[in-house]
Amino acid sequence: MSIAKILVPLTGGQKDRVSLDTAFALAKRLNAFVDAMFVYPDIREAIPTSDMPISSEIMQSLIDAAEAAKKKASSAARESFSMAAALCDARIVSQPERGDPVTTTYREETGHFRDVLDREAILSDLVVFPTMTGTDSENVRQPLIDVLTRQGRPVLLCAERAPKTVGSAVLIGWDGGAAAAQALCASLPILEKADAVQFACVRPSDTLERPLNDAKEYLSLHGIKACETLIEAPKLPIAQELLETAAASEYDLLVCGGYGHSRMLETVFGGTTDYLLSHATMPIFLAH
Amino acid sequence: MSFAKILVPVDGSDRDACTLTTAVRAAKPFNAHVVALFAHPDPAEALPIIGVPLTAEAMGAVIDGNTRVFRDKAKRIHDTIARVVVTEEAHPTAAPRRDETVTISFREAIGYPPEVIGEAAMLADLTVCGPTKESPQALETAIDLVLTHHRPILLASCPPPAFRKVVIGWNNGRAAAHAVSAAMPLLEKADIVELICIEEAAGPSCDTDRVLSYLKAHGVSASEIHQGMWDAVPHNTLSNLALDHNADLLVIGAFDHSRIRETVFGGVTNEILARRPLPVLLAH
Repeated sequence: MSIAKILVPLTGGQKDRVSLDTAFALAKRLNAFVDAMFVYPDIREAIPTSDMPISSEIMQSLIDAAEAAKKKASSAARESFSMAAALCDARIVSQPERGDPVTTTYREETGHFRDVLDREAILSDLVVFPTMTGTDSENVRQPLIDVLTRQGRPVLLCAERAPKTVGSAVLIGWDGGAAAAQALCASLPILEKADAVQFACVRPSDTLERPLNDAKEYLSLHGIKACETLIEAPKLPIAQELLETAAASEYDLLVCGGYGHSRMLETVFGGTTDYLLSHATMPIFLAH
Repeated sequence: MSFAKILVPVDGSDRDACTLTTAVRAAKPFNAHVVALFAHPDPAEALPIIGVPLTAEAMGAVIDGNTRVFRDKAKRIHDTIARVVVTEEAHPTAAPRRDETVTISFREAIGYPPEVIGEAAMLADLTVCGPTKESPQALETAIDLVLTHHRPILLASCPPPAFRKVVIGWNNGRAAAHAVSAAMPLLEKADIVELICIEEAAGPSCDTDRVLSYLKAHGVSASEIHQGMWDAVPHNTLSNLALDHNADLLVIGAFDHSRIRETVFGGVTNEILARRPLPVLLAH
């Protein structure tokens, strides 16, 4: 229910810095703990399996190369971490704790990215993923979908560049579906601290499964005032309309349900989630 | 983060007082709003199917009878709310709103109860379900909420306790992790939080470091009180163990194994749903 521990998986790539900066920008508003976790496969797996015996020299050179690549990735991740932590004045701690200012820790885990993530995500309140543009997008997409749908944890998808603030003005994509309701509940800690909250209704109000008024009443019990806008007769795909509406009014976070199950969600929002994943121009909070 | 809206499905039976009191006590640390939801079918649609067509008079009489039954139940619910408001120092309101005490509002909705309740639970922080032992429909509603709607539920018990000491039944599973995060507002307010870790022969071993550090990130310091093998102990011992430690609330992941395995082998969840000597917070 509350967002106190934000997991940021790192791979030593250039996108690490954006993930960390985005995570810290949000953690600052929530006073949360940022768990920076560098994941690298076991270097013994670099040895190819073949019917031919591999000479010990070749094996050694393969291991050395893998070791060097790991060292390089690890030091890149470490550097991104220390720069991002310094920028946000985060206090580096060895054990998770709640405190002011933001606390953080850096750790390294060995194993397959998806296995480690599955294990660690269930005991995190939010998992941060980098943008999916570029060649390695498939390495990000599947783990993100796993965390979202299998582990049932909310995720924060970063844009290509980290914004100055995350969560000060929030736009909620509302189609009245179950996933949207889950996203609303999961993002409450962010909405409570936001300066402005707005619903973007993507369907005419009389066709909504859950009326917008129910959602607004729920938010008002949490002390959150929200206004609304209706995206009527969208000319562009809904996801693009949402992103453009959010960008035009300087929102710094978009909250959406991801991969809902109803027919409408499958046909419209299922595609919407995929579109959002590959076109995120601002941080997007997703829950399933 | 705190509770702001707690949903309580009520049905006009004697169980309501206990369920409502439990909800008000869970709401108290946050001065949250409690919605008592009475869901029932449309009186005109709850007609018996008897093979021969009913005459207009008979149909009218059945509808009138149904209407009267639902009206009587609604009246009993109002009476129960009035009593709980006095004993628990809450405040009744006509519409959902928050105040400096716990507030309670009443809502009547027409439809198939598990569906109506499930829908309403989607936009509530917690749903408190009544004792399920004598009511198959309450059991169905509870299971539906957890499995279909993926919402956390609190199963009430009589007499209702204060939530001072909470015990978490931990098994490294995803469902248990969900239950812990759903219970976080109560864990943050509790005086004592303890963890019982029970492992299965085939499952992952007890690793409490990670859950303890997760709790720590939320400012909750918990201590581990018991570790053991699941298969070496009878299935109802988790709630017994928690009771032995004077727990006011047990937090567990529900239906962590497949429903099939649970039904065939008799599961912890079913055991607790049916017997339930203390309130249990469940999530899937």
